[in-house]
Amino acid sequence: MSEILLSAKNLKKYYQVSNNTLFSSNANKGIVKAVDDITLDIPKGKTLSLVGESGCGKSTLGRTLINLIDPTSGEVLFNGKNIHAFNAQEEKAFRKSVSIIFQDPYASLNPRMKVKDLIGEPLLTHGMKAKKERYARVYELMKITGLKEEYANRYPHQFSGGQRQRIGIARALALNPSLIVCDEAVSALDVSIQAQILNLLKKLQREFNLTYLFISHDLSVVRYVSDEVYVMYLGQIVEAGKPKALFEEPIHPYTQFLISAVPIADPKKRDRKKLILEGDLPSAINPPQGCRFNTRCPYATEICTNVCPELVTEDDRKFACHHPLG
Amino acid sequence: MNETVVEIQNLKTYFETEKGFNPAVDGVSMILESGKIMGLVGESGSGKSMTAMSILGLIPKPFGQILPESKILFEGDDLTKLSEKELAKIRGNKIAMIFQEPMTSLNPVYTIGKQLMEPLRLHKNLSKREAKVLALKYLEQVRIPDAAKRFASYPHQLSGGLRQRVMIAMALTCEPKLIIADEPTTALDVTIQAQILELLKDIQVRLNTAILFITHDLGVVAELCDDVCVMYAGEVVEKCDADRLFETPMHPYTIGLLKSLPKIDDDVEELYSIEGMVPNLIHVPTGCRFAPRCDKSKRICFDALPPRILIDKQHEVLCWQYDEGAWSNE
Repeated sequence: MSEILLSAKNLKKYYQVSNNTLFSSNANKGIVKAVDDITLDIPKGKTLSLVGESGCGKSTLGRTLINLIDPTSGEVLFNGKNIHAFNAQEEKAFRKSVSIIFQDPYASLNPRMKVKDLIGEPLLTHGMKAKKERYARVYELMKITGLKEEYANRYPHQFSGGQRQRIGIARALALNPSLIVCDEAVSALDVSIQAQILNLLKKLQREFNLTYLFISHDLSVVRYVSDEVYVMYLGQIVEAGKPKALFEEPIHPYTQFLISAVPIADPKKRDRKKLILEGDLPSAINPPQGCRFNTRCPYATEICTNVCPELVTEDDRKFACHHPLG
Repeated sequence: MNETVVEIQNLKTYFETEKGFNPAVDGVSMILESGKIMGLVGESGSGKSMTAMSILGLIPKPFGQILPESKILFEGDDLTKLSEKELAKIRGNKIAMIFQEPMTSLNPVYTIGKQLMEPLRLHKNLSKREAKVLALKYLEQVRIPDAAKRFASYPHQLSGGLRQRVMIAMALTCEPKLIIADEPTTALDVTIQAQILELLKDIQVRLNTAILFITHDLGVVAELCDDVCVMYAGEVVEKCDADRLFETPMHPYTIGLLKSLPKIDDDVEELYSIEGMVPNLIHVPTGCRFAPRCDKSKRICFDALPPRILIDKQHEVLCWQYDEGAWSNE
């Protein structure tokens, strides 16, 4: 059993929304349960993925886990310590040991800063004041992430998407973190560049024993990078497991539909039996009663509309369903 | 029977920039046939959208221009030579387009019903009543639940998937000969994408239109398309039917691209990755545009433009490797 780096216990994040229009403020309030009672453990040195469709709460969960968003209730433990009870010094140490890579490398880099200052910024914030020392580290980081030294004085607009993402990665690595949250880190990249970045992330993980929380909607990418996969639907975990088992024998009907919907780059498999989910994702404001998937699930029965299934653990699989497959 | 609907010959669309000419589309030729889906696949900046825009005469002027040697033949006319007025009669009528982002291509201040009726009133001179009947029919065809109710909705009241269905309905209203779909499912979630692809397939079988499907997703190509053109840096580097492309790809770029795809139905230890990046088209390399990234390249690849080689009637590839004489001399 590997060591647990970060764990969440009954984590919840609710948002209040009011139905205000431009001219009236009918307090017709609803609650978005973006993260609803999630418990998970991220093992050290591994990649845990959160996968789901847009609006399922995977980014909110990722950010709540590293204390960028305050949870409504529940707790997060980092190396066994509650991150919400940290004092100022512990808080600072925690900030050093977690970092994040964002989706859009065009929006997440300050266009008016040079590459060397972008990568050096976290170092400066955390007290590496001496220029010489800082830039030495910056050049080291650039080398690690495959950026040429002569790029140091350029601005972000002079780079392609893939190179910008390398800058983002160098920034995230600057303070030797133990956990990196990759929030759709390769979603904006072209296939050939995506493969480069994925391989870079894997290489860095081996070299520096990094732990990744990998948030993505792309199931093929998730299968490639993950050691463990959590599938989310409307704020809840519906299934979790090792990638091979999860992708080859899904237990939750939603996982089955999700996998079946992914186009496969092989025309010979074109005529495979495809399961197509009807309808759209229900609104996250006041989601369906009982199992949240019951409105789209072909196997739903009466119990599904009344009782929300518990997440049960069987060996190294977890699932929340009244009618598990297989 | 598949008839030729549009024939593109040697299409060159260049953009004038401060630093020089950018050959965004450089010598693209293809034939679009009725009842067939042609996939146009490539990475961002490869010129796939500009090819589509050139067909409809939507190239931003005066910076962009289609060079005089280009030809886009449609019903006896060369679309590149038509006036703006003549093109307006074709757009949305005989050639329709579905864009990637339905939220920005639908007008937010009109109901979807009004927008659906617009092409019918404009191109077919129908009365409001007649147009409404037809528009409703198409809304039902794209399987929008409660079509009559949705008719009076505004775009923001619909989900992304429904909006894309409305876009498809709108493209269908005038029974076009060709539908150009530019990344129509890229902004959608996978489960919704699967619905939309199924719908497009179904429509194509029923109406026998030609579809030019632009995408960066090889998975979608494999699911949907009959034929494929692979574009790289403004050129079509490989052209064949979809089965062939995935079974026996020939251009090193296509081969690399297929190898760099993570697979959902298999475990991969280490992904292959094509090193380097797409060249800046303002300084096009002499010789093959893919040569700097190609692991097979020899000197000739850098020195001279690669020949367009016909492996057989159905498979075309732009690569020196298959010119046996020149390749073995190196």
